[in-house]
Amino acid sequence: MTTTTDSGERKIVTFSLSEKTFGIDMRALIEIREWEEPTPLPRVPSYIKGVANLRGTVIPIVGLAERLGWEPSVPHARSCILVVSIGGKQAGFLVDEVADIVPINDSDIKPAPEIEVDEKNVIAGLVQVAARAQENQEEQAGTMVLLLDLEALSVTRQMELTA
Amino acid sequence: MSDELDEIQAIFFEECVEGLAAAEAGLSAMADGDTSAETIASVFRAVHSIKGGSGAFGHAALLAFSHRFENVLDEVRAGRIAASTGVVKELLNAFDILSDHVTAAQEQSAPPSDDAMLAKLDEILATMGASVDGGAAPAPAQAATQAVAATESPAAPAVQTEEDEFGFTPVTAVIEDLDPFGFEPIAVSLDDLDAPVESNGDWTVRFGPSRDALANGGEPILIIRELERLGGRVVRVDSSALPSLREVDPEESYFVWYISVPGSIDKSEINECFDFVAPDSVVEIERAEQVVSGVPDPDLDLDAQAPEPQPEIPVVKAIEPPVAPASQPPLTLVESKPAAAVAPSAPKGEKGPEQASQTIRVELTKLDQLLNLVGELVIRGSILADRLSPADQERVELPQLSRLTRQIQDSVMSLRAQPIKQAFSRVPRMLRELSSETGKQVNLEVEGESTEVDKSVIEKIGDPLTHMIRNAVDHGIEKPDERVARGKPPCGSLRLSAEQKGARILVRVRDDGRGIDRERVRAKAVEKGIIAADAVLADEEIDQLICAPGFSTAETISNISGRGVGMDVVRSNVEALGGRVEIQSVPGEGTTFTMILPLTLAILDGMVVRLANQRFVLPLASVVESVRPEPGQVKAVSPTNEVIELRGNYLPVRRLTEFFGLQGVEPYEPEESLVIVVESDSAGLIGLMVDTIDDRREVVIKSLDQNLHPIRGLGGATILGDGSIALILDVEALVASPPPSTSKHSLKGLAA
Repeated sequence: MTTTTDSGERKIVTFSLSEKTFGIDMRALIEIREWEEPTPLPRVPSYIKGVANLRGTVIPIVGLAERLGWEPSVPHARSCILVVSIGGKQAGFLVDEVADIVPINDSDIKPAPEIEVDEKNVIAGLVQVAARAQENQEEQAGTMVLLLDLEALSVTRQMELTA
Repeated sequence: MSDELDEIQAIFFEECVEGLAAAEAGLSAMADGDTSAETIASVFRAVHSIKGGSGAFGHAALLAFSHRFENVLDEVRAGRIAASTGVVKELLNAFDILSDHVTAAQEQSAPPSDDAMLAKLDEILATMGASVDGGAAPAPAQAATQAVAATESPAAPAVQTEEDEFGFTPVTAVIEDLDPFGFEPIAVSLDDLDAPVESNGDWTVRFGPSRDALANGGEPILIIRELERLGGRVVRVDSSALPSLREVDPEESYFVWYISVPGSIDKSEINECFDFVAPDSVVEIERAEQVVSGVPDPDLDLDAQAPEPQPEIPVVKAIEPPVAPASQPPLTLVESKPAAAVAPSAPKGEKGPEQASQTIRVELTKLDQLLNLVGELVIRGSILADRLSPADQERVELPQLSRLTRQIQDSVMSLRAQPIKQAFSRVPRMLRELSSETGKQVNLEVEGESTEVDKSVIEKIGDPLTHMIRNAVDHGIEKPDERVARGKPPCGSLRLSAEQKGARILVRVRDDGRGIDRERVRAKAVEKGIIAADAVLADEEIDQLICAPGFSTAETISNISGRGVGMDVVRSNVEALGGRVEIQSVPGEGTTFTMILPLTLAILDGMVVRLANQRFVLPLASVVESVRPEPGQVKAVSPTNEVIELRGNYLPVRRLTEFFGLQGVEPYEPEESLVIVVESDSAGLIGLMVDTIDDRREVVIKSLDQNLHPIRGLGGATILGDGSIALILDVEALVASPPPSTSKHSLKGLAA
């Protein structure tokens, strides 16, 4: 892996959702917070768990698993909210567990196969990262990380589609 | 680098806008008959600073125009051109072109054509000069008129005045002053009219700082150094006013300096040295003559021709231009200056009325950020209070802290408040243009322009206001002859007023025109298919029709209105702000449009209610009363509709829990709930069923669409004292929505 060239290399934050590992671009991440029950919103899609107070700003909290079409994740002690900024808008994603920050190379990202979904593909690509020595980690050779396309996940974008 | 310049330039344009507003206010006051020196000076100052900045930034066209404009204003300020109605009207027209110039410079577009206006300005300059002066050819108009003022003005009375005002006695000084120049009174021959101009004598500057000047740190030595830089030298100091040592007041100014400056220096340069001197200081600049071969100075002629001077003139007079007369006996050479007459061609710097409104510019986003942080501070403060033991809570520090926090919050809020004047400022010009387009005469009255409103409201009412005023002039006010025929004064009246009423701001546009022709409005509405031909409408309902989309009764679509979009825009804009429009009209007497707007878009006086154990905020402004229903008071009129019987009236009731599809609470009996009666614009009185009322508090509105999207029925969110979020209910949307359908699941997941 070439680490000398700065172009093409970036860091991703990996996290788990329903036993799978996902990643988002580190640059979009604002902070990681503990799970806290948000204020529910009426008349919104069920994956929007509600709104939370981020230092005076009201941000929506999105159940990412549900948003991606998986079974809704049940919040537990290690659940986290990844606060991200998507195109200037902030949102919090509920994830099961934050795993790591790993550098990856753009050339290592493999395009995701066409997945049957009802909207634009939210998986930007697949990348293999070397697993660190972690408990509960079955694969030793490496983990497949699904890189998420945050733009496609934008809450407001989704609204425009349904509206 | 260029960014920096752009930034400075942006400030310049902001200042231009302020300057234009000040100039317009002043000119309007002049048009209303207030021609006080202060008013005229404010106009002059504003135009002068625009000129100054335009030169610095290389806006040549703007510079050229403002310069010519300023010339005329200067004359008006000096009292040489009377601020007559005609003159003020031209000045207003010139002002409009100046605004266009500023806009053109800002947008870097082609400057407006100003030839006609410039010609007019020049004409004013020229004619006024001629009318005052008998025709002194070599001297420019102002010199001639100036000469009038200076002539024979009895120095003694003038000095006397000065003495009274400033408490020192320069009388002797005045006379002695001239001695160094070997001056003698000369008999003047009136025949020597064609003598060559010869006026290169040195300047004599007499400078006596006032007590105020010293108090403001106006160090005289700095001024004298400035003059010395121009080649001046102090010829003598008059210390005659100096009392004996024991009576000396260390803060008083006793000295008067006499400085001789070479005649080759332009007078304006000398004036500039005194730009920042307190206005009540004595500053006199005189040209001492070199009497060459016995030829009297031509200026004598001016004196000779000039009409009799009035003794009180010195009190309003400015400093002489270079060709000022100097042939009078020494007494008249030194002209005593009134307090306000310092350096007419230069701005008074930071002095004067402008001082009162010193401002700094802050980006609105920074204010919002500050507001957010203060909100957080409040929240953290109350969390902290909760964690402390009751005994600690009682201590004095905590209440003090919360009071301070509260004060900070209020101050930050008030930072966003701006006088509504900003929105009203463009009205006068619009009216002038409308009058000239329609041939109708309109007199504008403005009231309550200092009412403070949130910045965001001011920004958004501009368009509705424009439409309302255009509408009033175009449809309301009649043509002069028509008005006279109806027994009204030929000049229509338009009244613009703003007042605060509770948490709402009322902006009214009232005209005394013909009122709404309900017959025609109705006919038009039927014709356009807005209402059915057999609809029965109350007068108010007909009036409201003019706000319907696509409605217009104007026979010809004029430039001004009649495209049928105007009032529709007013209504939708105002409603978007959370306000509403009311129309009252009396046929033949006039129409009043009232915009009822929230005072701020940032805070809300709200009632915290609970729905299914979740807190919501109901805007208090729309709450009428709350009722705990008796058994049987709430009755179902259909499977999904209920009404509440209240003092003989039946009001519809909405169960908010069901409206929002909130889960977790079994349907309950109405007796266990509270019905809050709210008043809505669209549906009148309506009851909203909630679980309980928690609290009443002011909340900071956070928009949901900043990070999410608008949700029907919700006006936003707020953060309560414990850091949790409460959603703000939008009463209008709640009552306007159809009653909850039988399947509440269909509501869930329904996007806005």
